[in-house]
Amino acid sequence: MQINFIQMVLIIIFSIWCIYDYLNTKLFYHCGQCVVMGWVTGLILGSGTVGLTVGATLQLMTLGVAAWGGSSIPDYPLGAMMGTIVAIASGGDVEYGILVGVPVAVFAVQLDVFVRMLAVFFARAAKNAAASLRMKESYTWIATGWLTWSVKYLVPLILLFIVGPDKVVALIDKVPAPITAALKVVAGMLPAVGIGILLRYMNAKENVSWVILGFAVATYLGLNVTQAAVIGLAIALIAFKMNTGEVSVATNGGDDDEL
Amino acid sequence: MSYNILTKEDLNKAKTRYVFGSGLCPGYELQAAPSMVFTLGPAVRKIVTDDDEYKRVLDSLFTYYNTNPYAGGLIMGSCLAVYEDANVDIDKKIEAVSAIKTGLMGPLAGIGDAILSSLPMTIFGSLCSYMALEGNPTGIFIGMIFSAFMTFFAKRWLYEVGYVSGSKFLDSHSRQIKNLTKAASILGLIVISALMASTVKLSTPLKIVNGDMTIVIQDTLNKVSKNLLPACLVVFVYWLLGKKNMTSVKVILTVIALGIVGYFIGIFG
Repeated sequence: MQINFIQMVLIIIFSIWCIYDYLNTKLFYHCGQCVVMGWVTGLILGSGTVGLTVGATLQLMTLGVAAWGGSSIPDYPLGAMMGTIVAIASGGDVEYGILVGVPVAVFAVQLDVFVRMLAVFFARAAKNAAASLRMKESYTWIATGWLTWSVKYLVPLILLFIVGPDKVVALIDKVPAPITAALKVVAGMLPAVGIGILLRYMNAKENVSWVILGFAVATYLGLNVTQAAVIGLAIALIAFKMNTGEVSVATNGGDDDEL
Repeated sequence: MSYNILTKEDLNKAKTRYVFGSGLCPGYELQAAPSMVFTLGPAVRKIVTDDDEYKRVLDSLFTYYNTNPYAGGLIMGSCLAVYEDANVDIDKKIEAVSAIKTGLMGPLAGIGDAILSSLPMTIFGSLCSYMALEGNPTGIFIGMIFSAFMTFFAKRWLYEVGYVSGSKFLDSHSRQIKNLTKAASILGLIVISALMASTVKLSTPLKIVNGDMTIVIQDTLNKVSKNLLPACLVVFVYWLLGKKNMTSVKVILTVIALGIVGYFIGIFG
């Protein structure tokens, strides 16, 4: 399948919007950035379903892996865009998308470090302008600083358009079957990283009973995540009420006055 | 706590700048500090009219600042309230704002990232992914409604709370916040552990052949417990993450290497 110029431009504009949104308004933040970005890329190229599948597969590998405190992490949303483009070029085979998406996501870490350094120059320029109260100039530097981040998406995307997704498909066809099979095993294992990070984040060691409960309802009762979340919500509400019940007598007076 | 220098309109403008510009120029060194200047700048200019004083305020704001953007609204609001306090001279204001900034950004990042970002991202992200795998984009819109609520309502509301209660917010509510965090982490741990069972996939093709008898290792493992290998992998990752100098990128690369090596020597497949 040939990608025309208008489609390329649309994909690039969309990717830049995604950067702005990720940093500021975060409208795609909670619904799986990979899924949204794969889906829209797919829609632009005429097959939303392929985009949804590539995006969702990558999303499940990365649940919980988030860039806290200015750290750099693999960029799976970019992987979802590139993967979708290649998958559609191959005639709709999702496997191609995954094979492209994962390495792209991992290599994008380098670009992430680069754009964060690039943004430092904008921040410094803004600081210098503010030091002599040229506020308009300062605000302009700040308001355009996020554009440095779009380099992270523009370079791989334009590279892919120049090389041609068809060539990438042909290249993947030359990859020996055992390597593809090994990568499939890896794809099944990768979600463990995000889960591990989240467990550490929520101090699983001290609250191991909830971990066991969650594992048990999913494994032995076969509940899905939403169903487990409903049970979790009930327990969380009980815990919250029990904890605040103990202190409500002590805080009711003082607190309300201050607000 | 209001001293009526800022009109309701000024405050609304400041909030809007925060909603649309909380992460405008994120580089190493200053992180979200330029965004803080961008969102507070015009409102503070109205309060601090002296040029030299305003320069000093800006200089103090251009220092490292980084926190969860939703919870950060509390910091923005509190700082604005401190600047507006007519009973305090400019040195004290600058000092107080720096103290709020550096004192709150750590705890708020912890609480905010866990409850307001990670947890909803995981729940909506998995819901949306499973629907998407069936070719159904509805999950995307469910997540987007939540995101829009967080961006256009929660961010503004927390800003307001910070502004109204000034620097006292965390002092007077620390107990409730702790309780909320505890309750939310119970929900989080249950969801994440359930997620492990459905997303992590790892099994072994190993067989032991003993004369006529063939023992399939995976069947034996399943008799102990289903999802035993995925659980072991998660425990391994958890342990790995606790090591010094370990980053998520290194862990990801380790898992990739483990999977490839494991496949080729025949223990995973």
